[in-house]
Amino acid sequence: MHVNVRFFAVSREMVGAERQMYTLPEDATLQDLQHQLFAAYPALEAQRVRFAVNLTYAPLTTVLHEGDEVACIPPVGGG
Amino acid sequence: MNDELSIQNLKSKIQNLIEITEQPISTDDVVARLTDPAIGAVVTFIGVVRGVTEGRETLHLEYEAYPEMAEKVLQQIADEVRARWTDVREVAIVHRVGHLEVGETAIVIALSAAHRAQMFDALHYAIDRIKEIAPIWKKEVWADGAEWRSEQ
Repeated sequence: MHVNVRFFAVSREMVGAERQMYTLPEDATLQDLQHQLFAAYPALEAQRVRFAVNLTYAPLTTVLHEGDEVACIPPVGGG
Repeated sequence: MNDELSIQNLKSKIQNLIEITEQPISTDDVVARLTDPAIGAVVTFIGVVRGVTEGRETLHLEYEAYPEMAEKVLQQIADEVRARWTDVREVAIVHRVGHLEVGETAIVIALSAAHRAQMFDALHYAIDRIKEIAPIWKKEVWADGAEWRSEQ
């Protein structure tokens, strides 16, 4: 299964990309993806990132599906 | 046919109430989007780029958004405001992204209602909620460095 991961702000700078494609086993969860991300980019782990799946904040137990858009959301600061 | 046209006009008006833009924001333009004839009061919050934070001079700010999700979240916040303060009739939120100079407008929130009661509470809630959940980030750029800032 493939998911498209988007990175913003400090996470975009740490990863050095706006988007990456990740390959995961069927029935993988957001937690599994987070594990891969933190292994590849250890600095991300200290950033208290949240995740969104298909434009909605999602808990780590969320089961992912082929083609999902996952966003890595560091602490926000709009306004 | 006229009905269809007016429904289309109404839809485009409603969509325009929430916007992420790279263009400078005119507060008058945002207020002008509130067209409900039953309104008797409008309150606005204007967020501008501060030149000094914690004693340090800011050169400029870089705002970044996850635009598709930010518009959805701002719409959700507008719906929350109307659900909690049922007198509030319209909620317009326009947030600018990109490179902003000190003194430029980053966000305008405008609420309309028949009467002014509780509108300031509703406005306060709206800006706090935006800072809490809208996927928008700002980077302060100083003469000797830069940092992504969050109040969380």
